[in-house]
Amino acid sequence: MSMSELNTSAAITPAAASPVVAATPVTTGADEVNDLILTRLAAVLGRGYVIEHVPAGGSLSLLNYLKIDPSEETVVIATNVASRAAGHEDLLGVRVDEIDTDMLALFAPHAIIARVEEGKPVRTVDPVLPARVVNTIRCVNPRCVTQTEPYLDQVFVLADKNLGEYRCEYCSAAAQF
Amino acid sequence: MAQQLEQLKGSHLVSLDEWSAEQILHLLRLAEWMRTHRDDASQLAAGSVMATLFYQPSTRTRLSFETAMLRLGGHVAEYEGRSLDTDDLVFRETIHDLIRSLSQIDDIIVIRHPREGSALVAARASDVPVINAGDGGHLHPTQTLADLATLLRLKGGKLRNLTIGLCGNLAASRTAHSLVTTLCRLGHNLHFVLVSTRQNRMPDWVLARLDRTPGFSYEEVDSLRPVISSLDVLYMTSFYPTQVEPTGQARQASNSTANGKRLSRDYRVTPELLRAAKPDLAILHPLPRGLEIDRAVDDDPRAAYFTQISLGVDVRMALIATLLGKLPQQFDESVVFAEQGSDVDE
Repeated sequence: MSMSELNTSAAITPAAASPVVAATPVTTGADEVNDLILTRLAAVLGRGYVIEHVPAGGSLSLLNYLKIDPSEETVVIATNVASRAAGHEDLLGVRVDEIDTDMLALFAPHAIIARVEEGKPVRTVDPVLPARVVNTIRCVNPRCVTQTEPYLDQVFVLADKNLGEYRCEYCSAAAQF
Repeated sequence: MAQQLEQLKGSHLVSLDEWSAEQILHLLRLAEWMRTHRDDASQLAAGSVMATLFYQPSTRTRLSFETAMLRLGGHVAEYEGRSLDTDDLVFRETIHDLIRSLSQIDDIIVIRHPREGSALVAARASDVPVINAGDGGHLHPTQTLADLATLLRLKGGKLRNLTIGLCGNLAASRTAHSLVTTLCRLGHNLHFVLVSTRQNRMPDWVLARLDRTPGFSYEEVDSLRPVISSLDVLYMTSFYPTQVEPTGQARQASNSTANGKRLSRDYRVTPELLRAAKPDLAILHPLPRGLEIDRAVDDDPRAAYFTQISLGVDVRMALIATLLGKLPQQFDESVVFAEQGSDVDE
């Protein structure tokens, strides 16, 4: 299909505000080409989630953080696609019944998620930064007590919601992803 | 108002951020009461035992806690933390297990440990109150309480409309960090003058806290000399981080570096510098000091760093009594600050 054909594909209506019920087609506000890719991803998946504005090249890491194993789940990835918003980004589709939106917010704070039903993106899901993250990030402060007391959980708390800044619960060191 | 302190019975002091501004102020009122009612306080902790667990050497803080407990009529069990700690991970007991054990035999525990966050681990493991006497370069809440008590005493019970200078290695000074962030909660219309070398500036997270506090402002400068005349308070800290104990040559080097003359001129308090200072300037220092305050300043009436030590005992007496639930029945909060003739910021 040529680019012109892609550009004249059917318009996609804006995202529904309410999470209620069925098949109101949604867009996530991305470029038209990316919208089309997401629509195609949704069609391939049938059900699950499509995610855009994933940092370019970060899809595999994100799958790891979400504990989604590509050898066991259906995953579709488009890496390093052009993006008006971010220059380049990844687009990701996963066929799972549930997704950890807290982790997604943590590692891809600008990502937009759409739930897929019957091959179509039907509604967006708004991820919220978790207030507390346990055993996902490791404190890098060499003086932190977690370095010498290995039985302790690695706990980070949301210190600044606006900046998405997390700090170690023990030593207050900033999280490094 | 006593209820604010009664609520703290059985709790811990790991960070002042866990206490409300009202609780902090009420504790400082109680500390003032302790100072003027020694006899009434002398049996408040009778029969109680305080364990001191210092993994790092300490003079003032340890003795201050011990003196406070003895003045309350209690007893002190001193555990030499360094003898319990070892690099052998097989035989070294965890903080959790040690504190859990001590909390079965003592009534309150004071811990100083080099690991940042260790006091929180101790508090969670303990069945009795735990007081953080310093966890590495992280927090030192009782020093901040002593600093606040000194400021309130010297500034007529008010923490408002003051220009406060902080000078030294502000990047590594846990006492400076704690003082500034606590003042953000207790004070009003404060302006901070942050004096340090470019490499030792106040951390961004503290500056961010100042930015978020309405009515607060700050400036960063690299010398005391041009700003001394504007200061109401001067909080000096050593350029060598006190949580890392220098020894021998290292201590000498930190106080007389190759560029020590420039460092001393811009970051040193001397009688000559104080000629330009306000007559009611309050000079504080958490001690120990290096060359940043000339010994000739000790006799200047504005020197308040030894007063801090004295008030530190009162604060620790109030803290121990509060956490043990041994508040004096005679304590009348309204009287304390009426005597001072001013309203404390709430």
